[in-house]
Amino acid sequence: MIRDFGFNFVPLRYNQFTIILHMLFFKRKKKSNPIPSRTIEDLKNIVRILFVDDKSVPKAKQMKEQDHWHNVTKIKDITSLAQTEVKDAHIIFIDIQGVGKSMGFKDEGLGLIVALKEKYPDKKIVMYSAENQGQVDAFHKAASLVDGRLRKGADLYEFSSTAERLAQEAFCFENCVKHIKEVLHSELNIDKSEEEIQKIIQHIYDNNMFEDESLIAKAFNLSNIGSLASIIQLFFLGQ
Amino acid sequence: MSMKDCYFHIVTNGNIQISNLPQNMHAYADKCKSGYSRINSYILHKDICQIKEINGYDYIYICSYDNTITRKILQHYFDALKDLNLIYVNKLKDIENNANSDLRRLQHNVTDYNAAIRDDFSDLISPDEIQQDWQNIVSNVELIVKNNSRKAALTLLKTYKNSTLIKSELTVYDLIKNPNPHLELYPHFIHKVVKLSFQPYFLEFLENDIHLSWSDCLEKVQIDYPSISVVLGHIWNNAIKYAKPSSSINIDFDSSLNDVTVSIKMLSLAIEEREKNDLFKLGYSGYWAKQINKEGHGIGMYYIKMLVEMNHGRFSFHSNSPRQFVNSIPYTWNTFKLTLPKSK
Repeated sequence: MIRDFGFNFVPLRYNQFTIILHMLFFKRKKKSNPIPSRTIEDLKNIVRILFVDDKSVPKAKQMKEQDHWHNVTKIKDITSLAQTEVKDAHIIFIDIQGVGKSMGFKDEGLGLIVALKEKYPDKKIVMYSAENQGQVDAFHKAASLVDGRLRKGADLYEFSSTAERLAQEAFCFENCVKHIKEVLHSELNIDKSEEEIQKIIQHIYDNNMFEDESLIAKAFNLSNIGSLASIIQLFFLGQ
Repeated sequence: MSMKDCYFHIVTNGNIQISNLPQNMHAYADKCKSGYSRINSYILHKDICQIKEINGYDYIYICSYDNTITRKILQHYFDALKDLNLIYVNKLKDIENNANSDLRRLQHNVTDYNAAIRDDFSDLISPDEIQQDWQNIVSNVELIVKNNSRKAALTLLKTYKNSTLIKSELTVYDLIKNPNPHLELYPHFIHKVVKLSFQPYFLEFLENDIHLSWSDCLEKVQIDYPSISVVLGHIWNNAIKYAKPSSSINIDFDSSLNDVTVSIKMLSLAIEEREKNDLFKLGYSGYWAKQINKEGHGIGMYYIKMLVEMNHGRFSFHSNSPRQFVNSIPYTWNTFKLTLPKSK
């Protein structure tokens, strides 16, 4: 309790009377609460998972029904990097065989992965295949770009635990700050350091300002906040 | 003479095995007679001296266009080349044999497990029975399953186990075939990993009346899940084969500063003092396992150790309890310890 006072004060006697005196005469320094990290249950509600596979993927259904990832979609192939399913997804599982044909990648899924990572470096991409893992490693750039690799026969646990790991990475505080920094720069032409942004987000959190868009704008000292509010609300509220 | 002035050309079964002879000189090598000769090359406009040894469709050829080289020196080079070629050929054979034996083992084991799946299936549903009325195949099979629901349940569980074993074979093959195997080292709850690895073997533990007891553990370890699952699968498979029926297996977790150790203690076939060092060698099967005709291919323990070490872990075996005899077969309390690095 003594630690909460504004400076290093060592009283001669720790009796109740001196403690009350301290509380009366010295202004208590406001303590910031650490921003909580998301629970897995939260993440399962927020995170959008996309499977890209030309065959049926029972794992996608099982992730939804047995492991309760609420937003799991599956498409046969990607026809444009700007298509909604791709834009919306946080984590993309790609079978490296049989996809990427619609966009004309001659090395199928591997080519698609490279293109996706170039356009969306923040999206988490997991490749899976029935092919020998080392074979993939030796021959393609995609292998070093992906965030996870699974064998085709992997258990549901492997798919789900990979999704958990990547969801936690995607929705951690550091990533949120990084993302805001990029948006400030690209949408509003403002350059702020990550430390400055961290302080502002902490302030928003400590004062419960994250539900109101205008309060978020105020914290950033801006009138037009653009997509910034939605990033912060997604981080704190999951929507 | 530097080796630059010297060319060699080795042909096996009519194919060039290894050569540094320029393409336009290949004809000289082919035409050259056995033994030493000196000729004038119209391609190089030089004299060349050459030695060739022919053996059926194979030959070894060496030549030099250095005028100062004596027959004796060239013969020394030739002998060295011949010795080196012998080592090279044997090495190639070794590599080929190893590659083939890994592939043969994979084929053999996958075929075995797949056969077991198919046998269990046809044991439940006779192929003849469904062939006659293929238009009603679904409802007929439904009826068979309904009338033999227990057997159907057992068939499903066995299929699950056998397909897990196939998966494990493929994972091992994938890892041992690569000089730089790809491992996904990430945090996993060790308790969960152990429990999951266990599922496919539940049925056989039940059939052998083996009881399991667990302690709790909330630690995470930094591991490649597929390879550690294979390790645990091999341990359970050995336990089913070698644990005394109607005994119990205790699984305990111990956490230290940097590691978590999973101790698996079971009353299983005695391992003789003299064979403790051989236990992890490829191809070694335990003495008592052989006595009761339950030896495997001697690869389980070898792969366990290799895969655990790939995961920066340790695997060890401890036994120091008195023997118990069942039908003159000795059993002791054996503890297998799997130590894995904690995730930071």
